[in-house]
Order: sequence, then C-alpha cells, then structure tokens
Amino acid sequence: MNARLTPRPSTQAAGVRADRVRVHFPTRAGTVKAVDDVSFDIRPGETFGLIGESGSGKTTLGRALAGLQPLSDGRLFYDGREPSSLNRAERRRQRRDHQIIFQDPHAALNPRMTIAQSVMEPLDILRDGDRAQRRRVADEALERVGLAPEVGRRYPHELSGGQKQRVNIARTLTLRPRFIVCDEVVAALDVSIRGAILNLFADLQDEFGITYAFITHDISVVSHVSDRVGVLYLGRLMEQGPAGAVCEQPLHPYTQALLSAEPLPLPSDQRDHRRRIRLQGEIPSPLNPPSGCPFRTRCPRAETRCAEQVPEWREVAPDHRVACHFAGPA
Amino acid sequence: MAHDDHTGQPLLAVNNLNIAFANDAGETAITRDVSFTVGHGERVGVVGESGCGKTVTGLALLGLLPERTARVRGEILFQGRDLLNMPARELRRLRGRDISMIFQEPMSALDPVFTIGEQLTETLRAHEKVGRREARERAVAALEEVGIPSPHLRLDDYPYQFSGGMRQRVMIAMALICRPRLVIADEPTTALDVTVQAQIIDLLRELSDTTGTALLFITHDLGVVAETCSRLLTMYAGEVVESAPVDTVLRRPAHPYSSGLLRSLPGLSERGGRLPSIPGRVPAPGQMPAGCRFQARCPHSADGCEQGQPLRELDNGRLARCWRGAELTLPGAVT
Repeated sequence: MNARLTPRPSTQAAGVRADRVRVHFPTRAGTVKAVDDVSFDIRPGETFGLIGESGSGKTTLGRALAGLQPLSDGRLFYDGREPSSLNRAERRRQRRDHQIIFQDPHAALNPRMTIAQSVMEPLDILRDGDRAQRRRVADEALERVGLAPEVGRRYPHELSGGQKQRVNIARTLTLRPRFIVCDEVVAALDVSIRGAILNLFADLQDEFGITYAFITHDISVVSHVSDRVGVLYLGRLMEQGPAGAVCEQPLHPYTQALLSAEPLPLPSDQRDHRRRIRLQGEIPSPLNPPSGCPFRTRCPRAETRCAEQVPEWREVAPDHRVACHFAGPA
Repeated sequence: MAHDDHTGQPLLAVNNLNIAFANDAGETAITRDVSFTVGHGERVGVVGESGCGKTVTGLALLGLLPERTARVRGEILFQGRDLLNMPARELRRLRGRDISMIFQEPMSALDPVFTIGEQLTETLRAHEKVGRREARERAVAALEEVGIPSPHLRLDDYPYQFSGGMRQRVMIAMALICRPRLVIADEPTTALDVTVQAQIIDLLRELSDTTGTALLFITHDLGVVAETCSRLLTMYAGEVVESAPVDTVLRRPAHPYSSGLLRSLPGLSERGGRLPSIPGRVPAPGQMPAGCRFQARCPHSADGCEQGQPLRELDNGRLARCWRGAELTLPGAVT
C-alpha cells in the first residue's frame, strides 16, 4: 500500500451519516450533554460546515466524526457502513481514511522533530513503504501545500503560523484521507493569510477527492467554504441546509441572531438599514439545559409551548431542516 | 476640530514613539516613529496583523512595559503633559483614574481571590476620597451601568462565578468607575462568542457616548472597528501606515496593506470563489528592510519603494505611508 500523491476523483470521497448521535459526559455535578440527538449526512466530496458558539458541542461532534470520541448513543455510518461492522483490516484502512486537523498549528507539531520527520511520522507508524519512499511522499506533500523542500529540515519554532498549518495539512495529506474534520483550522491565523489556507483546502478537495466537515465559530468563513451548513446550539442542531439558504434566508431565530451579530466591515450608511437582533444573556450551562427548546431562554419568539415541547426536526424546504415551532423568515 | 476641547489640543498626542527591547545582542526595535492623536470623546481603532506593535503601543501609553528591558523614546502627551517624563507617583495616580485599560482575557485580569466588589471599590478608593458605604454604592451603580443583573447581589461574588461575557462587563465597569477621559481596549471582545461580542460592542459604544470617554480600540477585526470607531489607524511592522476616517478606508483605502487586509475578509468575496490574501509574512523585528516595510508583499511595489516612506498627508487629513497613495485606486470593503 504505497501512498503516492496522485489525484483522485471526488466520487471516491467518503460519505458520512450521523444518526441520532449523542455524546454525554458524566460529571460529579451531573451529565453534560455535549452532543444530543444530532442527525445529518455529509455527501461525498462536499464541505459540510458546522457553526456554533463555545459550548455548542461542535468540537466534541468533530472528534466523534473523526473516530476519536466514542458515542453514548446513536450511530455513525461511513460510506453506509458502521465502524463496528468492519473487520480489523478494514478498520485500519478506515482510520487512515479519516483524519482531523486542529486549531492550533503549533501545538499539533512536536517541537523536537524536524518538519520532515513530523510529516513522515504517520507513514512511519503505518510502516508504509521504505524510508526513501516515505521521504519522497513527504517531500511531495510539502511541495503540494506550497512549502519549499528545505522547510523539511527546519523545526516548528522557525516557521510562521500559516506555514505550520500548511505542515499539518501536508502531514494529513501523506495518508491520502478521504474525509477530514477541520476543527477551527484558520482561527489562530491572521486574517491576511486565512484566504490562502482556505484556498489550499478547496484545491486539495478537488484534486484528491476529499470530504470535509468544517467546524468553526466564524460565520463568514463557514458561509464561504461550505456547500451545506449545520447550526449547533447547546449540543443540538437548530438548522441545517444548503449554505446559501442558511446564510442568506435563515429560518431559525438563533441562526438569524447569529448572523446579525457578525460585525460587518461596512461604511456606516450601508450598515444602518441592517436588521439587528440582539440576544440577551449567554449560552446556558450544558449541565442544566432549558427544557423543551434549548434556545428558548434567549429567543425573541419564545412562547410557553417552547418550554414544554422539544421542537421537531422538520424539513421545511428541500434539504432545509429546522428545529423550531415558529421557524420562518426574520 | 470638533474633537478638541477649548484649549485646542487633542486629548492624547503620541509623537514619534519608538519602542525597543534590550537583549543580549543590544536592542530590538519594535515600533518606529509611531505618531497619532485621539480627540476628546473620539473612538479610534488600531488594526494590524499579530506582531505589528499594536499591543506594545497600548501598554506603553500606560507605562506598563517592563522597566528593565523596554526602551521607550518619543512623546506621549496626555492633556498636554508628557507621560514619559512624569514621576512614577503621578503616573500611578493618573492610571485608572484618567486613563484605564480593558484587556482581552478578563479572567487573568481579575484577581480570583477577591470579590469583584472588593476589586471595584479598591480601584475607586485608590483614586478618590470616598467612604466604604459610598464606594459600595458606586460599585453597584457601575455594575448596573454595564448591564449586570441584580448588581447588589453580584457584588460579593468572585470572578469565577461570572460567565465570560459578564466578566468582561465587570472589567468595563472597573475601567469606567473613575470616569476616565481615555480607555485603551486591547482586543476586548476577541475571547467572546459572537452574540456576546455584539452586546459588549454596543455597551462600549453607548458608554463612550454617554460619558464622553475616548476609546483607543486595539483589534484585528475590521468589522468590530467599523461598528465602534470613527477613525482607523492601520499598523504594519511597527509603523502606522494609514490614518483615516473609518468610512473612508472601507471605501477607498490609501495604503496597499489596508486594502489587502480588507480584501482578505471572506465575507466580502463570492461564496466558494478564490479568497484574496496577502502573500508572505511580516518581517521579523531587527530584520526590517530599508524603505517601505511592506514592499516585499505589496502588489503595487515599484521603483521608489526602496526609499524611506514618511506618513504623507492626502486629502481630508488622511495620512498614508506610501508614496503612491494618492495615485493608486485601491479596492476597499465596498466598491
């Protein structure tokens, strides 16, 4: 099994389906329902954006999708199959196919290893090819992410944040994954270089046939890169649909508030007409979430029904789902 | 000018501020000839990439840089008096009373072992002759002003009992309790969620309006500046490269770096399209090129950029550190 960085059609990218996924953490103070009854599907070759504020469960969900976090309940399917139904060899293959890239590019690299050693490490662990072959794959991967070969001889502290994130991408690329969870991958980078890294992700997706779950709190990033978007609040999906629909005509009051809270770099005369929804308070503790709809304590449309009944996860337009009794345009 | 008081001088005038840090090899320069003013009640945003000298400049204004290593030269005139030549005792009296600061991380700026009531009244009583009871009443009023529910009950709580957004409100209450003329806010909303950030931005703007406090708002987020400030300073590699009204910069920036920053924002380009970015990286301190410090990354560099670039005045009091600033038509956030 010799990894060469040859292109692959997007039809071979992985499809992922989450079916009523729950991740609960028992603590002394009670159970934290980090992810609670979440269902969605990610289509092969697409970018599925997951937006959420802190405490929304987005990172836990990302770790679950990457196979790093066992589920408390519910099921995950990759290309229609559950990991538990696979034999040993298949499961090894799947582990390799599914990767994750983290927010802090510095913390993800061992400071005592050269860049080339870090990039080769996954292949070393898998004993894939001989040393010369691994070296060649690592060089190819570095070149593909836009780094000169001599960068391989350097150490992480000698690189900028953007270069380090490129190294992390190269390291993942050596395994030729078909599905990558990107957890806040540009949040630690300066605005001036975010564009270049996001462009790189898009190019690699086309070239190597990769499916992305793109997790971020940054609405402008998620609306730019995603084909479809899911909005998380307190461990539950509030809305999900095509990126254009969710970001331009959101139907859930939370999505509407989230979008209108984004500060826009527009001159004052172009901003004043904008409808603003200012939410009161902050996201409640996941230890003690509100009854019924988790968003009702901050929702401008909340009524008594919202405290009594968990809103149904219903499809209001083709592929556009909302969990709200009173969903509709702002 | 509208922002100047009857004496005709701005509230704060920073002139040729040069900050360097001493090390084994001598000195490393961090900022070079930083000059700007803040008018009475004016809100000025400072943007730039990490490492451009924003935070260091903010700390220097309050005399908070480490004394042993920091070399600060130039002039910081606050209400006409140079803070750099002020005796330490006087500077201490001024700090917290006339100029105060809001930091990014409220949890590390608040002392975890004192109640917030103790911390608020300590600030107040350090600067004003007030009795215990009055200090407590003023602390309750300050918390109420920043929108903390049931302030008389929360006064005896410790910082850990507050959420992130509420802690930042406490920080703001503490910064404003003595009614300073100038507040320096260094990334005050960066650690907050976007829905909470929106609340804090509104609060800062309203309080600055009602109390007439000027604001120096250090941030990397141009959207936050657009929503709070009237003037924008762009810093690059330790220098101010542009100073102009916010609306002007958003429409037609005069420095290629400001334009590059604005064009890099994903929200402004077509969904799924290529995102512009600025190639390369900020030169490291001590390795600054001669001439324009941005030239290696600039799409408009030409013969002439290797010359030293002063801040030039363009139309309407706009300043740009680019000799082509008047001639270039640079894209902004809107066209």
